[in-house]
Amino acid sequence: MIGFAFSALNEGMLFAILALGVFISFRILHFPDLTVDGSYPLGAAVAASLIARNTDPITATLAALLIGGIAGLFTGVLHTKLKIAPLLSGILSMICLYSINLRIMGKPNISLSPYLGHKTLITYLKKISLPLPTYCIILLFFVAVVIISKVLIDLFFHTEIGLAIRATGDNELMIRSQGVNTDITKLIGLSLSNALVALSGALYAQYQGFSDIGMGIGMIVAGLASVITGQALIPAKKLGMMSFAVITGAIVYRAVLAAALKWGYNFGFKPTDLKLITGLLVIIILSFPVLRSKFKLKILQKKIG
Amino acid sequence: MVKIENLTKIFFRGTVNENIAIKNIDLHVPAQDFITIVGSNGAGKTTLLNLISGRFLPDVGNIKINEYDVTNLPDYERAKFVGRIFQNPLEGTAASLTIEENLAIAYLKGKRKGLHLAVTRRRRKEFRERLSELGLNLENRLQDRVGLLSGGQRQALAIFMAILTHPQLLLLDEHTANLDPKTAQKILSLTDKIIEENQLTTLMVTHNMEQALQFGTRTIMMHEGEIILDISGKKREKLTVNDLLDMFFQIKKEKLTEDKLLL
Repeated sequence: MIGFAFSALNEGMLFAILALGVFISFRILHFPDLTVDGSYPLGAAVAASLIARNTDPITATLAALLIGGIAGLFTGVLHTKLKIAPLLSGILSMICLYSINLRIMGKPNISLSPYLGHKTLITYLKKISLPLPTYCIILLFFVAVVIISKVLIDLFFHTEIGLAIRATGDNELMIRSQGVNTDITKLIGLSLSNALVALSGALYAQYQGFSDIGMGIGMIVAGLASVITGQALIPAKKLGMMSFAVITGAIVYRAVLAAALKWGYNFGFKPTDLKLITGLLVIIILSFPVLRSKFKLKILQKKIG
Repeated sequence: MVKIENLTKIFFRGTVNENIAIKNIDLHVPAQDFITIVGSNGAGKTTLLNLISGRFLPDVGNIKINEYDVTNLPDYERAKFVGRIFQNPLEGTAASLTIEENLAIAYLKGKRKGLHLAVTRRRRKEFRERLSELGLNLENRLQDRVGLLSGGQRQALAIFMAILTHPQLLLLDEHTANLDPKTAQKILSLTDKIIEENQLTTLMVTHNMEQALQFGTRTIMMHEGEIILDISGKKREKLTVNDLLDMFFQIKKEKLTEDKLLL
C-alpha cells in the first residue's frame, strides 16, 4: 500500500511538471498546443538515448529540456511566421516529432537498466546515503524539481518579458498597441511550455527505466485534465495560486487514475483501458460545471414550484 | 506632424466583395491639432485610424509621422509614436492582469524588456502618484485585477496608459460610444483635459456631431472612403450641428448627381 501511494505520488509530481507546461500554453498564452503529445516522448527519447550512450544523466536531462524548447519553437514558427492555425501547428509538430523520436532512439523503445550499466538520475539518488528509505529520497527529489519549476515560473511571469507574454494571451490587440511584437512573446511561451513537457518526459523515462515511442499518446489530455482539475479544486486568480492549483490538480488526477488502475479490475477494467479511463475522467471533470448548474436549477425549480 | 499622401485601402481585392474603404486620401495634421472625424457607417473612419496605427497596411500611398515614413511599419513598432484607445473598453486593457501590471506594460512601451521585475517598488510609487491626478481613486486599487473595473474606469485607465509614455499622436476611435451618457461625458472631459495638458496631436472618431464640434480644433467629414469636408478656425466656431448636416446632404447630393452623370 505504501509502495502504491509512493508510486502514485511520484507520478503525480512528474505529471505536475507536464501540467505546468500545459498551463503555460493553454491558460497563460491561450494557445491550444498539441505539440505535447510529441514533445513529451521527445524528452524521454533524448534523455534515454543519451543515457544509453553513457552520457551523464544531468546533462541528458538538460539536453531533453533544451530540445523540448526547440520543438515548441518549431510549433511557434508554424503559427507566427507561416500563419498556420494554433491547433494545426501543434498537430503538425506532433506528427513530425513521431518520426524524429524514432530517429533519435533508432528503435521504438530503449530500456534503461542498472544491469546494462546505465546511470540515470535514479541510480544517483539511490546512492545518496540519508537516513531515509530510497523511495522517500526519490519522491523528495521530484518534489524539489516541481517546487523549483513552480517558483521559477511564478518569478518569470512577473518579469517584464513574462508580463508581456501574459498580456499576449489575455489581449493581443492591446499588447501590440503597447509596442510588443506578439510573435516573439508566443515563441518564448511555447518554447518554455514544451521545455517543461520534455523535462517531464525525460524524468519519467528515467523513473520507469524505459522510453517508448507510444508514451506520448494522450499526454495533452492528461495535462489538460490536471490543469482543469486543479482549477476546479482551487479557483485562483493570482498566478502563484494558479500554478499551485495546477500541481495539486496533477497529483489528484494521477491519484484517481492510479486508484482506477488498481481497483478498476473489480469493475471489469483492464490495464489497456487506461486511455479510455483517462478520457472518461476528463469528460466528467469538464462536464462538472454544466451538470452542477443543471442540478442546482432543478432543486431551485422544485423549491419555487 | 502626420502626413498622409494618396492613401488607398481596398478590402477583398479582386473578389466580388471588393470594397474600397479608403480612396486616395491626402491629409496633413500639424502638431497639436485636435481633429474630430465624423461620417456615416462605412465611411472609412475606423479604417483610417487602423491604417495610421498600422493594424492594416495600405494598398497605395504613404504615411509619415514626424517626417519618418511608417507606411510599412507593423503596428507594434508604430506604437512608439502612437497611442490608441478603442471603442470597446475591454480592448484597451488586459482583464486578467492587475492595474499596476497593466500600467507597467504601458510604462515599458518602446523600451527594451528584460528579466527584471515588471512592477518594482519605485514604479508602483510613480503609478500611484500619477494615477491620483486622475481623481478616480484607482491609485488605491493598484493590485486589483482590471476585470473588476467598470467600463468607464477601464476606458479612463486605457487613456492614462496611452499617454503614460507621451505619444506623439493619439488616436481615439469612438472611445465613449459604449459607455452610458454620464460616464461618456466624464471620459470626454478627461480626454480633453489630458490632450490639452500634454499638447497632444489627436485624431478622434465620433458618431456624435455635437461632440465633433464641441471638442477639438478641426473637424473632417468622411463619406465612402473620402474626406468630403475639412473645416477649422473661425468658420468652425460658428458651425452648428444643423449646418454640418446640411453640408453633408448637399455634398452627398452633388456626388450622387456626379455619379449619375458618369453612368
